[in-house]
Amino acid sequence: MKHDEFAAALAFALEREQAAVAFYADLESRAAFAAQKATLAEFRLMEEGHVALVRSLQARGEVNLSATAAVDLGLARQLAADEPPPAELDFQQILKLAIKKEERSGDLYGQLAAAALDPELREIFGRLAAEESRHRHYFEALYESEVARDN
Amino acid sequence: MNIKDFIAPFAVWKRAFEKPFTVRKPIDERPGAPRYRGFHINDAKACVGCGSCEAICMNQAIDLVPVAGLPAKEGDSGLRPRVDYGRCCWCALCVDICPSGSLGMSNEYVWVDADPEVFRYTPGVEAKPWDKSELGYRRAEGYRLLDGQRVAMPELDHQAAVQSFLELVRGYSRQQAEREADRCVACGLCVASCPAHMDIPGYIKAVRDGQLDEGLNLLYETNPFPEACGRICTHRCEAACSIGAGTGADGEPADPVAIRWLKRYIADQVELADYGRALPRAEPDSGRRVAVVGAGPGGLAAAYYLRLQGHAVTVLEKDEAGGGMLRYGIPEYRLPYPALDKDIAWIQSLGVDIRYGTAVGVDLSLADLAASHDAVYLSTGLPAPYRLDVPGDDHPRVLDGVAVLAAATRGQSLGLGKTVAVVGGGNVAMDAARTALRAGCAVDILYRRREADMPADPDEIREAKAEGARLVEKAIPLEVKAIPLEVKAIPGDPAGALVAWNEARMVQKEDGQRPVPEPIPGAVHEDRYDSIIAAIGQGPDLAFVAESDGIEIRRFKPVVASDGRTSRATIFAGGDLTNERKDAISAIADGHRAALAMDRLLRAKGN
Amino acid sequence: MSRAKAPYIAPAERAAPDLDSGKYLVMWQGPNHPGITGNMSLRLVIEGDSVVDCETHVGYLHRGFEKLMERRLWMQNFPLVCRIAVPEPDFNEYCYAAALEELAGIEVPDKAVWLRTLSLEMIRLASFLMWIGGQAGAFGHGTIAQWSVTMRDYVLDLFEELTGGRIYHMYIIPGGVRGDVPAGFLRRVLETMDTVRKNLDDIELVMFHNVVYKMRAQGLGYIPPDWVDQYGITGPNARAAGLPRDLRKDLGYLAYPRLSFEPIVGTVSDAFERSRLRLLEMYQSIDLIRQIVDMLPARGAFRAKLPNPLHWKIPAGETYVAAECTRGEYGFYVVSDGGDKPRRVAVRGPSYTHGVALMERLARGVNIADVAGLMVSLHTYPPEIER
Repeated sequence: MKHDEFAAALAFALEREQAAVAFYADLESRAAFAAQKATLAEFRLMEEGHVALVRSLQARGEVNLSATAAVDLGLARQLAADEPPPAELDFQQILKLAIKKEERSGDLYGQLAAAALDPELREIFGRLAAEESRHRHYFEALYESEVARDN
Repeated sequence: MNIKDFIAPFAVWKRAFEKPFTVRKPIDERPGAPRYRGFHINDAKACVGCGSCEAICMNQAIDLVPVAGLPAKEGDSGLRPRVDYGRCCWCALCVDICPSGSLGMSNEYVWVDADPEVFRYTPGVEAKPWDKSELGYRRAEGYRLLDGQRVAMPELDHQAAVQSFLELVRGYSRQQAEREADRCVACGLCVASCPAHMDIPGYIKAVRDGQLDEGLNLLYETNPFPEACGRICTHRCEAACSIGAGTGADGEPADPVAIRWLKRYIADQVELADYGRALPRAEPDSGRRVAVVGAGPGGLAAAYYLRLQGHAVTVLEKDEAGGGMLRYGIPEYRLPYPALDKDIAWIQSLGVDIRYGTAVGVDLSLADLAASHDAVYLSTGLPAPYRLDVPGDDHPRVLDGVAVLAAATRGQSLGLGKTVAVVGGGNVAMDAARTALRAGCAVDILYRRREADMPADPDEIREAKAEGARLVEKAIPLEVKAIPLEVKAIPGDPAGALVAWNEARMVQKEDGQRPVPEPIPGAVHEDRYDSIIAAIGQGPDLAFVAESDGIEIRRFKPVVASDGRTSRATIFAGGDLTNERKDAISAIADGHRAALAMDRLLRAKGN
Repeated sequence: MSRAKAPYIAPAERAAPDLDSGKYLVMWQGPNHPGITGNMSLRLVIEGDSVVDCETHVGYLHRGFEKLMERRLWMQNFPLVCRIAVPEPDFNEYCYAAALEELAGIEVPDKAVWLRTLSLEMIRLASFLMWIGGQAGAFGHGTIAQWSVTMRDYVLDLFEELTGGRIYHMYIIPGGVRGDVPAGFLRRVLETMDTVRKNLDDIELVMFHNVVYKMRAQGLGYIPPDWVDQYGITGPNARAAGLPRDLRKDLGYLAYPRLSFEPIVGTVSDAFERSRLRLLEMYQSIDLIRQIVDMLPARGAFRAKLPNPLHWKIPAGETYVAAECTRGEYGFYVVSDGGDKPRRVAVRGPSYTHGVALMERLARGVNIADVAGLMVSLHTYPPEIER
């Protein structure tokens, strides 16, 4: 794989993670009360962790993420996909946003992996997709245990 | 005397040539009889460490001792009986009384050792050659010292029950209660499992002895809602009860002691007017002021214990009456309002001031409250229903379970129509289903997983089904759709909606996790209901807490220490808002713990 | 001479020998003497080889059972009471259980009534078998003890199979018994009875047709009939004097009214007559055991449901329950104050009357070599003298 292709792939990933940080930061700035703010801030920090991760990949020039995708609990497909105004966000809605977001990112990386001609590039996107699936699983598990307790 | 008297004695010689009767140890073995009461054996896994063996042993030969690798857990003290053969008289009463049936005796009776210390050991934990002995004393079939069968609770039959909101469970008579109380062995496993650590053996003894004032006093030491908890408590104590650990004389699994019903019996038997005879009054005024937000069981429990210490307590309640979910979430047939009112009335009689119709965040801010009081307790619970979160969940016929129950409490018309789908498997779902049944509806309960996975109390599920609700397991709701116009156009047809749901199968996706329902492709059903009641869970409403209040919140929960203290020293929180169990008794326990911590805080402030 | 023909009546008055005169020897027999059948002592004053005065000394075996029972739950006393009389524990179990059942108003199932009767008759037999060995041994016939103790062990084998214990059976529990008979048990009971019976025939031959035994036992320890009420004598000691007193008949407890038997009586209550009567009672027990085996109900509950033993309270009241043990009237007097422990339990053991006052009188004028035989002929168990 050519060095610039690798760099381009990571730069793309970095851009996506930074966009995610910006998304949570935007919601956070418009949050109405402390509980929303705290939760959004926590999720934003997680995305910032991702940014840092991609940066370190750039610096080291190799990818050492696990290739094992997390189990799909199936919530992402079942949840309705509307986005309510930020001032009324409750925990269910914030979690739902996060799940949907992780799913979209995972799907995108998955598609990029499928489209990549270079096997190494396919590997990189595949691993990024797996990383997003682990994230989605984390939020889904949280949804199961905290929101859908009686379901 | 005759000649025979001289000759006959020589007859003894005929025995000289017979085979001896004696056992030639060690060449011949002589095992004990199959029922022989030899050295003890204990199935350490089945044993719950209740100590009934220790209690019945008249020689004090049995000690319950901690065992490495056997930590205490709910329903198991983690202790195991150690037998001292310097004291044991081999009577086997320990075996006869053992609730779990783990204790037995082998038919081994020979054990030689120069070290006297070895004759005190813990059967089943310290390995012995006779551990696997099939022979030896066991309780005879049909013979038990303890009664494994609970005194049956008089209940309305299901046909009659569903006609009205009359209380289903009628309560024990004195004779029934005393008989049920007699079954307790006072092991105390229940105390450890109760979130409020109520003195259960103590009040059961009070029932046995007919000392109901004393019993009431014990109840109020840890729980000022005995009438309510005596009816609707999630009674984890009964799951831990050692009496339910084994089988009864009939070979059926033994019933745990009806702890909850005995608590109710005490509270029911003492008139409110006589409570003063049994219960303590408030200490003289301390001059400190405390605000409690939310008059649910947790908030009022905190108020009660704070008031007892002499603090002035104001409770702010957004609704028009107290009790929180006990009133607006639990239907009348499980907890009649007069019973709840009795609990609240006693708390108020101590001078707790409850301001109804006052919502913090609307009528006044938390900051104001914190400024005007020495301490604040937040127990606002989980009032906000979570949505179904499927397309169409905003359809007007999709109702929220808690709102339906609250409307029933307020005597409002429910307008459910004739057919109702309840989505969810918790107690709210069961209560909503049974309320709908009482409104004359045909009710289906749609649940994503299996009956065994339902978080609702098994009794509730059983009763809901007995009253006529149909349980549809492994049904994943996909969508709520409006009824097409051509169907709807039938005159007089009430408005309804279509629920699309997918049959699921349970798949074990991750080890150690509960199985996940996975849709079976193509197995989609569409059923029409007049109303769909969503009861999948509830969340907190924390809009009243501003960032400037300085309370750390994580994932919509105030972060609290074990005593309920938030990151702000004078503000405490508890109940459903912060704990994991989310039931009344845990909220009461939180309220009590927080009250003790707040009392310490307020006293420290005074110096 | 034949003491049998002219019974010697021991004087009522106690002699007052001048111990400083040099004529007398004070000798302690016991507390560890084979002729005593337990730990007690006889302080004998001897002139030549005749006993001038006998004083019984107890206290070596006091375990405080009656007092201990006041500190233990009703059910906790169940394993305790059997220890009051070691060779015959079941009468303690029965009397204690029956007293509690009477006070608490508990009906015992019929099957338990039969099993209790079986257990009591079996222990009567075992106890007599042990006694006869002692009686023969006291007159130098050690062989009889070898036989009879073996037979007793065969009966104890049955107990082991039925109850899980050889000596302390702890089988008759308040409310009923602790278990039904094991499979094949009744057949083994009958087989054992045949074996014991055959041995009794042998014993009868070599012991009762024996010139030595006759000469030493006849006329020894003669109890005139008018002493029976005076000394509170019961059991074989009284029946040998010609009084048909048997609580199994007179009180009709357990299944005895449904069994056919007649009290065995003698004519002259001396050591020989008493031992012959006990031998006949062993045959009688074997017969009763056979009847019980025939009539024992095959099915049915063997224990009534009782309250939780940890808090069992018995209504205030008092009662006395007695039964005919091998030695006479065995009884428990139980008082409840309504609590979870007995207020008072008093045990009436027949050995108390036979072994203390009666023994002191009968020993007067007896040859020192016959003291042990005399004591055993009264069939006393010192453990029940001191509870």
